Amino acid sequence: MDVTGSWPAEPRSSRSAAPRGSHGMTRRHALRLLGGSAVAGAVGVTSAGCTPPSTPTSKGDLDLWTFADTHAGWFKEMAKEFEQETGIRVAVSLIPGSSLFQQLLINLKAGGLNTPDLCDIEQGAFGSFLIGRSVPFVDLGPALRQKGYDKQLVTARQALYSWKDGVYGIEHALTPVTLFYLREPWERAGIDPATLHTWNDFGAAVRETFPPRTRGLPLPGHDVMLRQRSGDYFDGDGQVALDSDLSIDTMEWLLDQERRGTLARPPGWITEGLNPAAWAEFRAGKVVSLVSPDWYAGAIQSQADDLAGKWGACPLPAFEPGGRRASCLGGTGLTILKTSKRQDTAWRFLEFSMLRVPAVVKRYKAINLYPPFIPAWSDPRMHDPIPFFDGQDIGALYADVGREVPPQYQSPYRPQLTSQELGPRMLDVYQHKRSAREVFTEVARAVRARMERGGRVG
Amino acid sequence: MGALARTMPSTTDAPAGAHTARRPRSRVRPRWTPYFFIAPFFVLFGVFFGLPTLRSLQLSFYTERGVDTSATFSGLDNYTTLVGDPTFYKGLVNTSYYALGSILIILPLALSLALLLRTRGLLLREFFRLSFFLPNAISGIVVAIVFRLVFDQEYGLLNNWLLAPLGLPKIAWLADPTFIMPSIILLGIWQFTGLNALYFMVGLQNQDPGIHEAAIVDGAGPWQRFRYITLPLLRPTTVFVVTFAIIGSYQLFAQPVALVGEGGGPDRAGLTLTMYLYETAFTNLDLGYGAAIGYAITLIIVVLSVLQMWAQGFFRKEST
Repeated sequence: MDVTGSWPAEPRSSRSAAPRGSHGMTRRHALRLLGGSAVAGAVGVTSAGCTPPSTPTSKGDLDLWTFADTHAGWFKEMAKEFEQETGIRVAVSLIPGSSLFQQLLINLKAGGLNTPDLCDIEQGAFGSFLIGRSVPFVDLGPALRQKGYDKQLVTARQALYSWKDGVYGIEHALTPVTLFYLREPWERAGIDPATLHTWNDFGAAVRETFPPRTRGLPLPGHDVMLRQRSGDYFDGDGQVALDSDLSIDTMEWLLDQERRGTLARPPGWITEGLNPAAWAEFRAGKVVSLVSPDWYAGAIQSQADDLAGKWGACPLPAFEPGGRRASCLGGTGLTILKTSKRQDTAWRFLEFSMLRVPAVVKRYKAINLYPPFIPAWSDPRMHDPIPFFDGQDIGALYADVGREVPPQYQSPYRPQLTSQELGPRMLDVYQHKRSAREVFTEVARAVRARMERGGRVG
Repeated sequence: MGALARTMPSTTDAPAGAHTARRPRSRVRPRWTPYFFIAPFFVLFGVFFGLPTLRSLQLSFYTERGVDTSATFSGLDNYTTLVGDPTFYKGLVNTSYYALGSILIILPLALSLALLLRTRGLLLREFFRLSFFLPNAISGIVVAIVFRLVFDQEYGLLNNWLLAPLGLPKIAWLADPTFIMPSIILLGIWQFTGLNALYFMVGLQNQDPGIHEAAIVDGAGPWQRFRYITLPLLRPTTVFVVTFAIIGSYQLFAQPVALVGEGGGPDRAGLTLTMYLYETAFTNLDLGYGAAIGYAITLIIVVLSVLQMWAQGFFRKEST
């Protein structure tokens, strides 16, 4: 009791001090509600992030992934026609560059979440999918054999998507490597390059007929020339063959031809390939031809459009009389994922777009990929004159050399050999710092060590 | 009221026999509200950082290669492989080369810049501060793509605007193994000097100007003031900057990939440890070994950071 005689007020608690809203909620209650909502929101967002995005729900829909915008455009055309014919929708997604392969690997590793039904796989990345207990793609071999397609496809090209008796993809392109030549300097020299049947003939013609500073062509890739000689970095059993005598001899032959003045090394050629400085050499008449796959014509057109219409094409000179006059470079295969729940439908679309003459011809017209599907070769539309080649019937050339295109063998360690082991060391060979034998032996040893650590299918 | 009422503690000075105050609570009720507010961060941190970190540590003791595989326990196999892996050592040497360049070139440059930007009477000070800091705000990939053009052997700015006028031969910055890492360091200088200068500027601003004035009165020259006052007082900032420079250097990834490719270029001269980790785990799908590389990088960063902190006297107790 205080001095005035009144009772002191009860001590005020924070609870009673809290302002009250008209509905009776205290500040503490409001803060708790806010905090709880924040937690619930965070959990919800996290959970939503863990669930896969919704897949197409209509019956029979397919998902197709590709990394090349030209392929995406063509697949969308095929998808329209397929839907008109079958009522089945195909959703085509473009995931540029190597992101597609890494995305697919990660999604497969996550148990097949959000994987497509069909997927374009570039040949350089295909080997990565052969590491593990099983290949994640459907073996198309039985279906191909059943319908006779195996005899209608260039077998050598299918080797890129084959592993241990399984065929896991259908190649888009034959990728015939032939000799592109600038018509004018060769006509001035009075030589038809198609009549130079061997590399010895070619070298002699260049050194004896052209001005001293002119070279026949830029150094071709070692792998391209090795395949022309029926070799490769891996053999048909997936064993490393980089350090074979044939491989080493091919590299030494290339360097010798450069030394003798047949082959050129334009500025930046070894590290960048064709670049503005290299094109300047072509324009200046210092280089008169190019070993090139069919699909590179588009790149030439975009990099040096002033030279379009001035090219001719002919078979490669052979290494020996009567020898192979073509090689191959690159490739992309269309695959069906084992995780697809619509494998039969996916096969129907694959057959529709890759194994019918009208579709294959349409693809050639749209994106200049000469097909490995042999029945299409005789279609008249494959023999239209090509302005880039000054009206030449390129289809006839490719049909002529098509069956000579060599195999390129696949391996789970192909990506590791080419980009991780050989690529960084190759400059030493071109710069004569180390011999081809030394480098190829070192690389082969490193890759065999990786193979011994294991991990490949089969 | 008996004696009991008299002995009971009271929150007021009410006389005995009067109505007593409410009993104090025997147990304090926990306040949950603050935890609700900090919970979202910890939930997300746990899910996206904590769990993957622990899982990764576990994975480093397992062999898991390829798409369709299950992990098999392999003990220290991944770590013993790491010890004998020449590519790992290549990455370590390259990364350490960059880290040395970062610490010995970028940091002194940054400190010099910070001192310059604090010059009394400097015109357009804020403009210069913004200009030097802006490169750090640009994505590393974008910077690297632009620098690819700068380093181009035939048409690049560096060869044509700097070397050619001086009569020097063109350098294959991104094709010659000797020049690949210096190129990456040059890029780092352009991109990160401003940020580190900003850190040093903050450290300099926090120094008591009275100490410098007293030193001037005592006859100390500029170098003596810098050597005996500015630098020692800047030690906490220097420890911070060097630690982050080490961490950033050993985590370098985007810039070398964009400049020389995932493989690290000719002779793997641009291959860093994180690039090797990425290649092992996501290209070769050797997840166990990739995890082991990740933890090796972590250990290297921790050891180097602690060493430099010790060297700078960070753990020394100040005498009172």
